[in-house]
Amino acid sequence: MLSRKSDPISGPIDRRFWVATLGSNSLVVACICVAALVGYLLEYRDNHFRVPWFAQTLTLMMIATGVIMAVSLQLINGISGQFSLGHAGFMAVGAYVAGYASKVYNALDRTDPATRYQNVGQIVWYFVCLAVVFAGAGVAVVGIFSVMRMSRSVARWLPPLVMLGVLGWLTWDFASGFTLDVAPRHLLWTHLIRFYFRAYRWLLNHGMGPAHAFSAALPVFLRRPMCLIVLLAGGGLFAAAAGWLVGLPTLRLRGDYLAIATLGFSMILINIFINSDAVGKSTGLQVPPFPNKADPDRDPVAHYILPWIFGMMVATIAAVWRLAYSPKGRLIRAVREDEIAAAAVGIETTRQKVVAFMVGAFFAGVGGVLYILTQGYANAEQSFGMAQSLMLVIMVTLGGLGSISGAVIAGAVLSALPFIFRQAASSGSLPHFAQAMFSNQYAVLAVLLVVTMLLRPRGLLGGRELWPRRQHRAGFTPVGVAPT
Amino acid sequence: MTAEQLLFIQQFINGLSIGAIYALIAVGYTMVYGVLRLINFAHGDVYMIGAMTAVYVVGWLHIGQPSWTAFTVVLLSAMIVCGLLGFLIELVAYRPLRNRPRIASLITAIGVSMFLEYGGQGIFGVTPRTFERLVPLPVSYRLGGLTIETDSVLMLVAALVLMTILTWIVQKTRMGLALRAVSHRFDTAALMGININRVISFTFILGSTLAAAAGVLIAEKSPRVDPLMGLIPGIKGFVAAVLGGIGNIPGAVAGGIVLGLIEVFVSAYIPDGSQYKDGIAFVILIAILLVKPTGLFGRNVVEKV
Repeated sequence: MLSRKSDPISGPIDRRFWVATLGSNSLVVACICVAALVGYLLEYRDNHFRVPWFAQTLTLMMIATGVIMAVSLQLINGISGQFSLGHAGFMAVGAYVAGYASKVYNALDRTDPATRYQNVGQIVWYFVCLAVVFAGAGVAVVGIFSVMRMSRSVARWLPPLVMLGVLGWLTWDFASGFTLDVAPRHLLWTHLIRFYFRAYRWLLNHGMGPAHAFSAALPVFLRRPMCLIVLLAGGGLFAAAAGWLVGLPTLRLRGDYLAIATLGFSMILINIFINSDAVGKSTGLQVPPFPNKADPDRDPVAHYILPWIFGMMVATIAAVWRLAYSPKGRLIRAVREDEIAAAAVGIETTRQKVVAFMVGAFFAGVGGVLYILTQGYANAEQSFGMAQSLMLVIMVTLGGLGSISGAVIAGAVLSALPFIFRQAASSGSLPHFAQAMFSNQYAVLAVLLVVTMLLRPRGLLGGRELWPRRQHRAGFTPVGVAPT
Repeated sequence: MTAEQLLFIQQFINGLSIGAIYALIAVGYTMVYGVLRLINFAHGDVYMIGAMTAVYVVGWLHIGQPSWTAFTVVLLSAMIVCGLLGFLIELVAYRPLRNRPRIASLITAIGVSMFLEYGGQGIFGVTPRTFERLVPLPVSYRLGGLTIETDSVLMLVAALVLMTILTWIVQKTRMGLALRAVSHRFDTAALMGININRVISFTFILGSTLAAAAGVLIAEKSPRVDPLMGLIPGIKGFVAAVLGGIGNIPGAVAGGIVLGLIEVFVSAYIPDGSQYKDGIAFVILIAILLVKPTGLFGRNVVEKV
């Protein structure tokens, strides 16, 4: 916010600006608290009353996760105008990183109250080690790409050649390294990768003692919420890092090429996940679910997580909304409207796109963490596969590209659809063909999507919001518009 | 020859035949992209419908004995059905959106694809169908130390024949001339008196026919036909099209062959490589998009402001 002081567009900062900022921030915080309270009350209600199917906790949790995913994709697809077809891939990153951490460090499933949730520090340390290793790999990748880009200034045909060379070298080096116990010194990549593994293990082993001491020193009432905060933040940050890695090279592409590239990246991620032993291969990753507060054995569905899931839903909507309608968001939307014109007036177009992509990926990762913690289980191919990515695109498109409130509505309705369909299909009072139709939600959705595109191609709200913001804020007068 | 050389030759033949299938699919993608600048996501599902039609025709005609007549009848009927399907898809889903932003068509294409997949699950059932062999030849021949699968050779030969016919249509007929004109410059072709709608319908029919042939051929080789079978080959066909330079028909064929060879060699020579077979296609796709988005044989297009 301090940078506004020298911002030539918005003008000087006056008292009204701070009042407006602080006022609306406390409004946001209040909304998050109310949502969390609703979740808390739901938990109480579930323990004491029978509820009808449409208000069951699992339905509401899936709706909240769906809204988080739809809104975060709206930031990428609608507001920044990039067409991502692989959003579920980021969800998978968040879910797998956090799910693996909570499984290995047994974060959520301690029945003995004395040692319950003692592993906050270990999880943090695990994330740090992982981040160090990935940062090293990222530096290597970026280095190779910058070498390739530099080689372009020598000759135009050089970059593909460099890339082919590096790929060939990597393959040969790695393939010969696989078969050897003691690799000779000239196998550079093999050594590099082994070095990274060793460094990771060393870091992990040497930091665990202090990490354990740290979490043992935490007050007991803080441990459980800390566990969740760390998992959510870790999953989100790793997904954002993945978004950066994916976005930096692909966001130079346009339109349908970008769509295919993001789809390709998500498929590669899923391919890696379902072939990794550590995360359960194609059977999926099993995570101990959060225990029910009143009675740990009664319901395997996560209950403690309810306040968090609703709070995160509101936080996501607020964050995306405030980003989209801030000066930063104006830059992002300028790039959407006309990339060439935006570049011509001095906007760094790639930067705006990458920022939107990373923020979207962050919340997708958070959504993934919530998903795996509520379900207690995730399978990369079925939970985060192409069908899921397409489903998210359908939510955003039906809600209206560029409209956050549209994404909220469509996300909620389409996430509730499987439950509605299941109910309709099992009710038994429908004619046979309707039963058959309701047993296959995707086919109905596909027809809905095509019909929407033909009749109302801009979606439900078509880029507008339910509550449109005032265009002229205090202290800001658009050029060429008379002050009112 | 040593065993390793024999293995190499065998894998090479496998790669060529898989590549021929990818090439058949990729040609449909590349022609539609050349004309409409649209990624026809539903193309992989047209391939699935081709295989499914073959299953049903075999059932309806009570074909018990393998014979060349039966194979030809099944192949031709699948091609006709899919040609009609391609025509219908274009007419209903893409034509009304032609003057809208391209993203709208892309989303519609996704919708059509999902409709064919999951509607197909409703109609055909989820369990994979089996498919009787139709070709009256032994499953494999032994040639020296080599074991050559008949179906691989058949795929290769059929693809070659179809590609020759396609080249003749595109290069020698009036319709082919119109197709090339439209894909060169859309509006100018319209000004020259070419009936754009007819050319686009023709493109869809041509591409869908080739995809149907690919579907029947793959059903011959690995007889598991289910509604979601078109998903991965469809995307790989697109990767092949991008690899060869999208909009370029010979490029698509080359891209398909290269992709097939790479896939087969990765699963043969890299430990646990067959698990990463599907990932490799996407790695290639992204590498190509980053380094040379116009593909191996594509022209550079300068965007004018």
